[in-house]
Amino acid sequence: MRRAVFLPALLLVLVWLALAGGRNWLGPVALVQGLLDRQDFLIYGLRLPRLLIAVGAGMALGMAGALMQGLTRNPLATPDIIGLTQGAGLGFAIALLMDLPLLAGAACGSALAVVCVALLAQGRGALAFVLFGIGIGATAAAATTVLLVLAPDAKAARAMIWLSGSLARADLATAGWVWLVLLAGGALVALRAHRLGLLWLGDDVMASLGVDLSRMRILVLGLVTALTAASTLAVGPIGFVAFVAAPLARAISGAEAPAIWPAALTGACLLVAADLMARLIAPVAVFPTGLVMGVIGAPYLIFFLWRDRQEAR
Amino acid sequence: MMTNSLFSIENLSLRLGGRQIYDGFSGALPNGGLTGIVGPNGCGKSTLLRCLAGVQQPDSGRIVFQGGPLAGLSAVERAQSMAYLPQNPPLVPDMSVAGLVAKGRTPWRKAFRPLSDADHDAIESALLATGLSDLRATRLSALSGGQRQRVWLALALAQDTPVILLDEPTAFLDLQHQLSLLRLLRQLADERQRSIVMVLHELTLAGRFCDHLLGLRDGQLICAGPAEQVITPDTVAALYDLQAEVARDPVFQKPVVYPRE
Repeated sequence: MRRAVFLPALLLVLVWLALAGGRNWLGPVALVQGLLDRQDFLIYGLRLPRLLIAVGAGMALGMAGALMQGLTRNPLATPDIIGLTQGAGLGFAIALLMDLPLLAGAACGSALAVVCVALLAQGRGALAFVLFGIGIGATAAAATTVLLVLAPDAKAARAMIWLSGSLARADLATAGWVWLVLLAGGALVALRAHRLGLLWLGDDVMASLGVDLSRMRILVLGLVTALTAASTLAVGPIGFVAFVAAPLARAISGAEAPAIWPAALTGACLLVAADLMARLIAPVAVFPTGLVMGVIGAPYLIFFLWRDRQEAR
Repeated sequence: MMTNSLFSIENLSLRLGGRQIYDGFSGALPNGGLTGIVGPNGCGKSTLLRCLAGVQQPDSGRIVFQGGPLAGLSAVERAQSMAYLPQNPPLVPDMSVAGLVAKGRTPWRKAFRPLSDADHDAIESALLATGLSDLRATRLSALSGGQRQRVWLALALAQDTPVILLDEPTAFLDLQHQLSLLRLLRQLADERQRSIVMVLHELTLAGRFCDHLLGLRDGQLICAGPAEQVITPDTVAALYDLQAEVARDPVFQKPVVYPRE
């Protein structure tokens, strides 16, 4: 039981650090005063929107990763690795250049990516899902870069900052969108919690335990698409959060797979911590949070593949 | 066709991976007791069980379950009527024995509710019946292959359904555990009126424990009936191309196959 409270406690500590920490450290008294004063620019103008986005997007990514890993029974098949994030990025860039609604653009992009991957990999097994996903992701990322090279400077500059996964432009409106999608997705996950607990057991066992497989796939893919799109809208295509959240959550909290809620908490912790680090490393410059996640996540991917190989022997 | 059959299969056809598994298969399985499905490898006995469990859709034909079309049941209704244990249960991430067995309660659970008293009772009796009560908190990774097989059986028992479909439940078990498992199934059928259908490899075990046997070969029904009538030198030859004697064993008076080759 004690392990179960560790993640929420860690998140609370990180939330406090994120509000208090930065170029100007606030003591407990100053922090409470700032929170009580709605006019306080440092809290309400800068740190709180950034924190809300980091927590919301982190939870969304953690959940999306845990759901996708469970559905495909493959720890590698997370939205950031199989191209959903990159698809959302492409959709976002197109929407930005054409002045369309950004969330809709990101959602269409990730939905298109997941449909492409699912169609291409249909009936070819779990590995094909990952490999086609990597291909789709690379294609979408390349297309995004081409678009931005051709785009007018002002828009391209904004998109480039966003693409590197920065939270520097955080505002409360974006945070609102992220939380709206997160709460709706969370409510669906809670409603279907017992069924979703069967992810990882495979199609036959799920079907024999009363799961309508096609409805389950639509539910999970829909949730993953929406959660990925919302988080990508807010923080850009940040990698590795979705990938490491669920395995890390299981290791820390001892929760049983698919560990959707612990993964959400872990995702939030990761993103808040990475953003805090980004702000501490470069308080003035816009240091992208995505870079911090990359520095943490990329070695973990290598470690994961190495360990997986060891276990397979 | 039997009127009181558990399943009746009408004109089932199925193609899988470029191979015609059944071409107009018909047959019936009786209500109650232990029914065994036997036959050589690749005869379609596992696929038949998958079709009965509703996890494999036939290309054409109809399966009637307790008087109504199987396809007419919703996924949850089906899961409340029958449990199915596949031949190779999937590898799952590490979790506790009780955690996995509890997932068998899914079709009975309501949204937002924790496990009910009935759920806990079903899990306890499934653990007790499979001799896993002391291992409830053990992680799956710490279990032997045979123990893991019993955990999956416990999951199916926790589902608490009148019908239980098992695909080679005795695989991976040593003889002593094979016997205790089959005795447990016998007990469930006799004392708790469960209808149990299982695919079995061992003709001798099938003859010893099953009330009713179906023999399949190349997607055709070769023989069906009470075990004593089905296990004969003729059917063994028809099923396996094997010359054999069949005699009663001295202890239980059940048919035993003695191959002549």
